[in-house]
Amino acid sequence: MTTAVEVTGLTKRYRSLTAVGDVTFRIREHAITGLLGRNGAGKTTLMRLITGQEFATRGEIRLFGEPPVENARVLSRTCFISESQRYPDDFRVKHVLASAPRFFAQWDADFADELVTAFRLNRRQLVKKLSRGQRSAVGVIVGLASRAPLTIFDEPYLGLDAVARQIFYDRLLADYSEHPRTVIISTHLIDEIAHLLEYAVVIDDGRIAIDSPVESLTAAAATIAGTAESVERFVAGRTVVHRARLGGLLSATLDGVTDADRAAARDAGLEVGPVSLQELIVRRTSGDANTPDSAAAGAAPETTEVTR
Amino acid sequence: MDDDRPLFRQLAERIEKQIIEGSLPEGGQVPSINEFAAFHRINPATALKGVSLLVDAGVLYKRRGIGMFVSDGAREALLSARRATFRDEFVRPLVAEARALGITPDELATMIREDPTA
Amino acid sequence: MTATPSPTTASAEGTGDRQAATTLGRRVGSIMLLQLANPMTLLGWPLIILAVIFLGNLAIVTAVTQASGGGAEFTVNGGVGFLWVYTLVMVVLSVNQSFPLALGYGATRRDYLLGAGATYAALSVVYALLLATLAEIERANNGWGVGLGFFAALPEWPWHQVFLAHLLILVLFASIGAATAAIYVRWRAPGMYVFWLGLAIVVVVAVILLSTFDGWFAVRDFFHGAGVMGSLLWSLVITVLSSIAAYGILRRATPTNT
Repeated sequence: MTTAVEVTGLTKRYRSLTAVGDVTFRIREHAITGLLGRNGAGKTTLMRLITGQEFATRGEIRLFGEPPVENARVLSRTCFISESQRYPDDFRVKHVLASAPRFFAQWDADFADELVTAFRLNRRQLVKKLSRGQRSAVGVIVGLASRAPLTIFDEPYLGLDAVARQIFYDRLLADYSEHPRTVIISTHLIDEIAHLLEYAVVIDDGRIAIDSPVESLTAAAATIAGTAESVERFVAGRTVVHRARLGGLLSATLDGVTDADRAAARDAGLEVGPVSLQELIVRRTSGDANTPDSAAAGAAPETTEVTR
Repeated sequence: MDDDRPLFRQLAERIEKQIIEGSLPEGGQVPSINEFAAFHRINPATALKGVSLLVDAGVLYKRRGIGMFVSDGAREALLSARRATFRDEFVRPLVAEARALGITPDELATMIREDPTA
Repeated sequence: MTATPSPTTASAEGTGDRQAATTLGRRVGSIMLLQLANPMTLLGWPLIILAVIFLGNLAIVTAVTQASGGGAEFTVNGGVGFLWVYTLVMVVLSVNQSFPLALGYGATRRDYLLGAGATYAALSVVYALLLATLAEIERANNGWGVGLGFFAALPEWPWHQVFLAHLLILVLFASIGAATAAIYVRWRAPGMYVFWLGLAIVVVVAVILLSTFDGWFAVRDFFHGAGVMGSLLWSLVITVLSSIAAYGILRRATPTNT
């Protein structure tokens, strides 16, 4: 599998604040990757750097093999739908739909029309006057219909209701299957999209906390529950990312679990449960002080609020 | 699709179940990877992994350019595989649970015999 | 990482020849269409408003002329200046609002600047052509029969001079708008404070210096010597400097959506 985006030693500093700190990872081509993390973790900054909207302090970015900054050859193959994308005040929905196609060689006008109907948008309405969710829908439509070889959705569904979000997921999956391309979705609502993702890149406090196929991430994690004593005996020497106690019962979230481990736990009379991607990420990025085993505990993460 | 096993295994098991139940008959065509992905709302790469599991096991076979089909004898093969794991997967937990509740093996056997759906 | 895109590297070919078709001309054209997506904004409303102002002026001048018993003398009233200010405001809004959108669509800053510049240059030509033509008609019918010089620059100027005057003023206003908006887009409010404060200081210092050294005569002589058209041509210096400033500032600007 080839690489769409390659980031090496990337750092972005705003005066004293480090939004992205010495980050190295890659985004695989023709896959859906989730860029996950808490608010202010540096997700948006990272995406802006990848698309050349922001200038790096240090490090290297390769977008389709080339530096992205002011590089029309590779930027013309990207579409970045920003969380709070602003449209000119005089734009109606139809003006967005009329001007966007010129920027994307693979734009599918029929698909865009279909999406407008699915999201029940009124073409004649001013974008400025749309509700938060409807404006998100406009962005989703442009992002999907652009079929840009690299399409980035930054918190694409702020304000979208459950039905509209489902439409987004379904259309994304269906269209992605027909027209494979590289998609990056940034969100903090992880549970809803976990099954859509092939890869997860988790950024925490400006650093990459996880970069892995989703499948192997969740496959390697398990919750072991039972009496405190038996659970403690089982987890000794293993990577415990979280512990929850209830009376004499203990539930431990483990990482690096194999099928043999699961079988062993069951044989020991312990309950073995799944760990959702969201849970796993929360455990790995919360720096939860209640978990003596977690490496992140103790040092309270610096607050890097990089809001846009 | 949500229990403790990986998604691709869950998908494979669902397809197996449909073959055993007969809703996917032997020799019949199965949906495409994209159709599986869309229906179960999972990434196509995951769906491919699940289906590949069954192709590798000989349950499904590919016809280039046409699609995937259920192999002849797949149902019987799946059934015997299931029978082989039935004891581990169902009987042992049942007995363990019964013991925890103080139900003796004889009582359990009686319950099974007298169950109206048995 | 600097703003210098490297020349061709091999790996960018991936998705084939379709992308190779994105020539500079096409990309600049896309930006122009983005500016004109709602044609009412740049071509509809300003002309409608101008027409309303014109008709209002015409009604007033006609009434006054009739009240005073006729004998209209051709007077330039400058109502057309609305279009200059409108252009400036539109440039400011456009840079502020369409720049982030264009970058989201994968345009480079350079493409955007060339496209927006081309849009407003073309628009200035269109406006100037229209105004000069109307001024010519106006002169031929002695100010719509009542001496109203609404579109004319100077009463005696021929068509091509009126055209040039309007064109120079329109591009001046547009470039000043672009430079101001560029400062705002790049440095937001703090940039504006520094800019206006700096400008105020420069003006105050200039006034003090001119007063101290009796420079006002030199200023008067300069404009007198240059004439109206000469002064307008000198404004090209400001136009060019503002345009260069806008380009330079936006080349390193990072768009925000706030």
